Amino acid sequence: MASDQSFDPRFDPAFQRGFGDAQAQRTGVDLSAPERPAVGGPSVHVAASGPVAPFASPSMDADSSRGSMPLDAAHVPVETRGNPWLRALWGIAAALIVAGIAGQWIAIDLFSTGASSGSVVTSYVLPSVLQALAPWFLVAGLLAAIAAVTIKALRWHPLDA
Amino acid sequence: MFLGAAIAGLAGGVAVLVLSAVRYVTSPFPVSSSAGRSVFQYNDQLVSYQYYQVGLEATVIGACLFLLVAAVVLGAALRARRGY
Repeated sequence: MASDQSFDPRFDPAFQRGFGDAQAQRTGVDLSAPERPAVGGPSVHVAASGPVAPFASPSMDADSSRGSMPLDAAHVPVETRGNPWLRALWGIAAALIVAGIAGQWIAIDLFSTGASSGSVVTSYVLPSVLQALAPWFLVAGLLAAIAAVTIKALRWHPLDA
Repeated sequence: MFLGAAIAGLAGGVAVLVLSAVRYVTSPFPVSSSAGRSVFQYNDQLVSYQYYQVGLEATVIGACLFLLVAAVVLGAALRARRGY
């Protein structure tokens, strides 16, 4: 049986006073300090040549466990949320689609009731202009929406969700 | 560049369309009992109009609208590729 101040290679160093990483971290001991296992006596020999090598680089282990990142976390996603062009594209798409539908709706309404309003602008001009422009608005808006969705889909990554 | 051309084209198309509409409104036909057209009042006179037909202006406006959308799509794609 090992004494309190010597290292026993039969057991995990985490459960031995003064040798375990857990205890060292708990007590705030600097693991990279070279004087940590300086207990003296034959136990140092045993530790250096024994099968257990927790002292080989405790500081490396601690640093790697603290500083390393998992592979997935190292992935840097392409950010599209802060893209002002994409926001503008969404806005243009929504505005054009609404304008197209509203223009077609108003044109039909004016064609049916505008002649009784007494104004040539609301009877002939406005319905014709709206009817000519509404399909362009609608198609351009739909294309803008499709393009925005496509850009978003191409830049999507499972980790972004 | 595309964006500027699209906005300029849109402004030009709208301007031509407005000019065409103003010219149409200010050029009425005299009332005819046999034409079968609606009668409107213009400058305290009864006048009639033919049906207004939009010409090439609508096509110009629509094409410039597509150019505008394409410019914004290009900007969004390039910005997304750069990653910010």
